[in-house]
Amino acid sequence: MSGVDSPPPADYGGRGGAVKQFDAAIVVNRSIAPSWRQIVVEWDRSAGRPSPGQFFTFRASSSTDPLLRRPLAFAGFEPDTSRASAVYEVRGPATRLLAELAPGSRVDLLGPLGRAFPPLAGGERPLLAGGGIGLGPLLFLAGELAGSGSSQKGDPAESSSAPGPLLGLGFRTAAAVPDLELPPAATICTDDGSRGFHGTVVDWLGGQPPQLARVYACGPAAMLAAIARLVRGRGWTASLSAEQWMACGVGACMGCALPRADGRGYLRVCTDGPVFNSPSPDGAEIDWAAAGPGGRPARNPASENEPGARP
Amino acid sequence: MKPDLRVRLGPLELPNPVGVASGTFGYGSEYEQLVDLDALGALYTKAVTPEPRAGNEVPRIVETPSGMLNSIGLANPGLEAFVAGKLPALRGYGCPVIVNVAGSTEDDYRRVVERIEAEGGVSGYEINVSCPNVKHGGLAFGTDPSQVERLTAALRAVTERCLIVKLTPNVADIASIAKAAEAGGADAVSCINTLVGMAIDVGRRRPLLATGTGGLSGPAIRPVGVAAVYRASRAVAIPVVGLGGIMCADDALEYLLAGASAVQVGTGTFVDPRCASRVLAGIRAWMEAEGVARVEDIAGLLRA
Repeated sequence: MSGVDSPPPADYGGRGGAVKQFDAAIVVNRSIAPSWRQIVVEWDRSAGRPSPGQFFTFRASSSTDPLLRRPLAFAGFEPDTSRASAVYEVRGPATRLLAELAPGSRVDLLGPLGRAFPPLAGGERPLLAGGGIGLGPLLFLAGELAGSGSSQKGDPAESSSAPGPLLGLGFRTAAAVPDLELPPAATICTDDGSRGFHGTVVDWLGGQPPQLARVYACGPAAMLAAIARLVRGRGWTASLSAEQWMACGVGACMGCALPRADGRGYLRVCTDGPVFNSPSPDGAEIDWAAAGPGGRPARNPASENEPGARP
Repeated sequence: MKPDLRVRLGPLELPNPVGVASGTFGYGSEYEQLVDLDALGALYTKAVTPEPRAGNEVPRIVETPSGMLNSIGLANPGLEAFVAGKLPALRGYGCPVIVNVAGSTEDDYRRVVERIEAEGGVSGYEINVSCPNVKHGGLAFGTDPSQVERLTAALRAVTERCLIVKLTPNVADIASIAKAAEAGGADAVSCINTLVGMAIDVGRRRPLLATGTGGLSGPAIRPVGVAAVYRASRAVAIPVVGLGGIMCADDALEYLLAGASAVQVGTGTFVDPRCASRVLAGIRAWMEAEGVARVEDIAGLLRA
């Protein structure tokens, strides 16, 4: 029975640790691009340590409208200060409320949730692809793979001889590139060619040498579907972070389901994912062609789910 | 004075009146890290059907004003996987566990109850004759008094444990359905399940749920639930368990004043996993402040 009792894939990352709900102090909440913001919070030290690919849910107000918590992917974590960050698009009522919270105020958080990006096998040079606001988890992962700040013991990527990851970040135009500290080696891709590589991040990925066989990605559903096709054609493997409207975030409600590629039911984005492997050794792969919220391409994965919000 | 929080549902005594509603709490383990399960008044499991069900097409949930629509479709691992994989952990919890039972035919419901009876270790059953998101069973049973009575009687014959029939608000007269459950031998009724609802994406001119319609829950439906409890509790002698949109203690007290013997927190747990414990603490504080000795006394305090 899929989705309900699927055993956890053995090769997923994440450090474990307690899932906690707590009121977190906001350290930074600033605009980084038109309608995009970065938030930095004090992460409860008794809660599990976030890993790239994992997410938390937030509630910015005790009002019942908007009602549900919203998920946001971690974009970074500094263990020394226990500060966690995320980037989000102000897309609907919940993110509008979040955007209004000033540094020093508190926000109800719950996490860390979901399965993280799996660790690298030794010696691989990974390709990291972020589309739009989906760049957050890739920046987090790139930082960890480069061993900057928050490298973890026992990570194969820590070996100093391994070449650093290749990171491509896609935006519509140069004006959409956020005011964030991006890794110097990152390739900016713009759809209109106004900055960096002219084309989508999938085009950039397609131009990479075939021996670089390991892809990590987060972005709009159409982008993830294109990457799933690309990796299948090349015999690569990818770890892709999916998005779906979500209610509980902890695996109880079965609301955030996405269809399995093998037709055997559904998987939950919150606890079976949000990171899914393509192809998956245990068959627990998403039908990426149908993987956007609402079964249609997502506008900005890894940002806020805004159920019912209109573009 | 320390108020007595215990409540009785037929053969079953609950340690307190605040349970967590079926479909919103999985099988308990999902919330183990966030909620003190032992302190719950009752844990109503996700529905169990004889066969595994993958559930409905996606999307299955969408937020609406002060509420949400769902069309999960009773996704569950099925009876045997429940018995093997969920029941052992459920038995270990310190709270009463009430298994929510669903099916397409009378025989489906009986199979689930009989199998779990053979295993033992649960406190009772909540019979779901009110799910709006499945083609067979569910609402088809719950809107017809004669079918509710017959199904209840059939299950009464196979269990002496607490038997609760969960009622739908999608009927003209909920009192007549409550009476049918009572006549069939139910120990209690719970109400309300979700209201049939629909939301449409105007820009795309498409329903937001894959199934078109779904079940509405959350604070938006609370007045409907309170009225249903008010009417049902005046129609039957058995206890009524109230649910629908409870987010805080005052919401639960509305239900108890309307005639409920106990309540369930559902969608409120999604919003705040601590909701049930906050509600219980608030009820206790209110009883202390008002000098109310027992939860069962609250229903009599409603002024005309």
